[in-house]
Amino acid sequence: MSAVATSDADLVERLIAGATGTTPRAERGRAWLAANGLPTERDEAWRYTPVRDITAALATAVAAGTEATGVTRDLVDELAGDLGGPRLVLINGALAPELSDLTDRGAGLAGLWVGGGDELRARGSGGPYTGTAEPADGFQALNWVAGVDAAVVLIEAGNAIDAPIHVVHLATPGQMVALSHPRTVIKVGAGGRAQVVESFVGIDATADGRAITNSSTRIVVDDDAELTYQRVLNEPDTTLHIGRVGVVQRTRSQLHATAVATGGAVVRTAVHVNLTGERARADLGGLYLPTGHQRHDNVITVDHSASYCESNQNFTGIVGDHGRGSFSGHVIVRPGTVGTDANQSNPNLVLASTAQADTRPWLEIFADDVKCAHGATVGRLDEEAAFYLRSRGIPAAQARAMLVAAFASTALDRLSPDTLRERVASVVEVRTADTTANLETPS
Amino acid sequence: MSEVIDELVEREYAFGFHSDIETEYVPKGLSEEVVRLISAKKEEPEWLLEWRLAAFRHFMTMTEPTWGNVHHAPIDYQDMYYWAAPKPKGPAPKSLDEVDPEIRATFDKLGISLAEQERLSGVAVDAIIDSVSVATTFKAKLAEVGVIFCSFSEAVREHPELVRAHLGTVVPPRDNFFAALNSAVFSDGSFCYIPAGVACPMELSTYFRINAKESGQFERTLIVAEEGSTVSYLEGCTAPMRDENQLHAAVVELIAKDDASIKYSTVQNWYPGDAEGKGGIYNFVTKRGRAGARAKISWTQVETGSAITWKYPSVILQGDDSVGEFYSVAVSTNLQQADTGTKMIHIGRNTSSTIVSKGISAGRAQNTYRGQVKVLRSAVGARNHTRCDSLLIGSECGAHTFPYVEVKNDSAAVEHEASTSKISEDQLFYCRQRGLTEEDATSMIVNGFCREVFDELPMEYAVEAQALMRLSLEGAVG
Repeated sequence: MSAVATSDADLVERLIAGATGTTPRAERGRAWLAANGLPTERDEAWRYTPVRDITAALATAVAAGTEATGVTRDLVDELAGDLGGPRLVLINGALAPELSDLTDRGAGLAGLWVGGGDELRARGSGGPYTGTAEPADGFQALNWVAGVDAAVVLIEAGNAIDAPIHVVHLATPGQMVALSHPRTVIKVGAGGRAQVVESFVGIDATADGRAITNSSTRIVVDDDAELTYQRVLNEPDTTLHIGRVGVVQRTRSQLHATAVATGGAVVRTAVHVNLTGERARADLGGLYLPTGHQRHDNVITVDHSASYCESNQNFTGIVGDHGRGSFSGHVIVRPGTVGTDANQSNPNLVLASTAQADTRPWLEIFADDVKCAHGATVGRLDEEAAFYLRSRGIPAAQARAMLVAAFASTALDRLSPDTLRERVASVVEVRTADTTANLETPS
Repeated sequence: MSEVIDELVEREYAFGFHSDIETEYVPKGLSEEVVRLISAKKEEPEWLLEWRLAAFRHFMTMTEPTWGNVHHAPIDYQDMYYWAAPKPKGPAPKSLDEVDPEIRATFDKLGISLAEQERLSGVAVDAIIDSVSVATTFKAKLAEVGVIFCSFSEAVREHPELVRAHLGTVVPPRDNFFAALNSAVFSDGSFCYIPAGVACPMELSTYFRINAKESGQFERTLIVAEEGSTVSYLEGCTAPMRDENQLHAAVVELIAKDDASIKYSTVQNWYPGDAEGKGGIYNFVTKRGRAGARAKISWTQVETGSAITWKYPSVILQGDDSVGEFYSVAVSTNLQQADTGTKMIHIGRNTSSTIVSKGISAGRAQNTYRGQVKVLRSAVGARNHTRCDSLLIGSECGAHTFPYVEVKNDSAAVEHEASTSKISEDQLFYCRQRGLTEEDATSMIVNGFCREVFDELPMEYAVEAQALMRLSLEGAVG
């Protein structure tokens, strides 16, 4: 870790000045920040995140308010969609019960508890955070210290919940550079099964206002449990989002996780999956699509700390205009484990000569009984395929749009229910239509 | 099987002997005085002294890099000798016959008898014991076509204008910690100049040899290939057994001007330390080439030695249509640590690069591939293909792959693929049921694994490399 710059220390001091959290976790976050501060671009894991832009914006940031003023159900429906199941809505990190649809949604929700962290703590269960883990980085520490509430999804052991559980984080910066720290905790008990969708959206900022979202999602998938987790990041193009998803998987658990980033000025998605139980399986995938001047950074780590586990990473990047998309995949296989199977794949499509794609598919392996492979490619649209389509009478622009859609489909097909997939697919279509229209027609 | 492993573990370093050549030292430690003393001993011109001093002053402001995936006790740069040269017994030798018989015997033990090579193999050897070149062969033959192949100090004396024009243009003295150190205290090395349009009539070769106790070796190699010329250069190393760790921080600069081609092959077999990780060479090397238009630079390396290898032969593809290649086999056993790979920087249009890296880890060794492919906005039509595979032998070793791919151009096509696995049980079983012993089968599979790289080596090196590989991994399979 790099030493804390004085200016950074002052910044951190200011950012946590108003935080009153006294939980052990908040204390650990405080201690960690005091010792290490915020990351810099010199930290390997932050190499492709424009940390300087973020800290510059933080310099004038204020804590976002938590009132749901002016936010209606219709607005939430419009921004994040209604998937038909229970829906938790949080405004700038605080639960908005009047906008949420909790356990009254449909039948078959026995064994599910959905609500706010404060609410859970009030019920005497000790709160959603347990364990003694240290923060992974300065931003997560900041989230622990300054976060106000949490969205909590608990599935009791042995229960299968069919309806998609939707957690919507809405940022409303108003006139300010507003910093919020949304948190989500998802726990699937032994043998349980569930599907959770986490949407990050925001209200278009006014001229001066923009949101900085510093999110932290914690997921525990217990023995034999199965979780489908989908993360949709479609915030306004002014938003800066630093996100971290920490997952612990126990014996024979299964995780199917998908992250799709389309919005934001800067979106960092750091996913850390720790396979702690034997025969756990993690299937991670996603799509990131920076156009305009967007920066999308994905830092995906799978830690094989138990034997016979399997992991897949399959992230697709499409970069257009002046956008920059990055993928840092990291597979760690711990000493003493056997029977590991790990794969990484990161195809990138570059749509403009001014766009940039970075990929770092890393393997760090300390055991010999492994099968690990990774592949990464960076290239532009296949001219031959475009020519073939054009020779069949399809106009150039449409042919290109079809090829881009096909490239994105590997990731989009992971999404469910259909309403979510269609929703995201249409966003992708609109975003890439802008960039493919700019492509020169081949001579 | 286990006895074979034991045998491997107990195997003595075959080249671990120490010949008694009287050594002349400069006092331990690093200071401006030492830099001046080295320069004075070598009777260098003022500009080179200034160059060294600038590098030294910058070095003093730098800190040792920590990003490498290697772990070692801190190196005390003040506790080593920066100069050791075989003491001349009378005037400099005029032919091989005049070379110190002790030195000759050393080479004989290594199996690279100069005389033998001069007569039979047609390879010109610029042999280096510690820091001063002691013999150069085939000079006359090379001179006929205008090729200059000599020790670095000789080049400074005889061709100062060539050295001055090119020294530090690819690896600037401030490039990194170890390059700055080398620039300040480099003792000697090889210089090679191929005039325009000349295809070097023979393969050039240098044998490096660390000999004096506790003497860091700071070689500097500069190869300049003028327009349209071609050269193939071989570098190989063995070092005697030692208890203290020895530092080796070399710099190699390649300059391939338009239409030129440089092929640089290395077989590195420094002393790797014993089974407990005691001793062994710390090898921190900066190697880089710059390719002009339609030029080609090809690095091939077989790394079996050193306790620590930290080495990233790179190519700056500056000219349009230039080509960069990197073929590497890195073998680490016992407690060896290798962090090696390449950098391909695409600047010119239609530049292309190929990376093939094969890492083999056995025992408790850690083997890391670290590579970067960078395609700049100007590199329209750039191509790269990277293939890096790792083979793990034994459950306590590690194989790591850290590639960086950064593309700023939509017309680039960059592919990276990698795999990590142990030797397939199926392949072993198949070979064994054909009557091969496990050891032969393993050797065969490993050689097959490395074939792509060995094929790039010049003939005589390919043979040596295969033997070395077999020796390094003998029986390490279970």
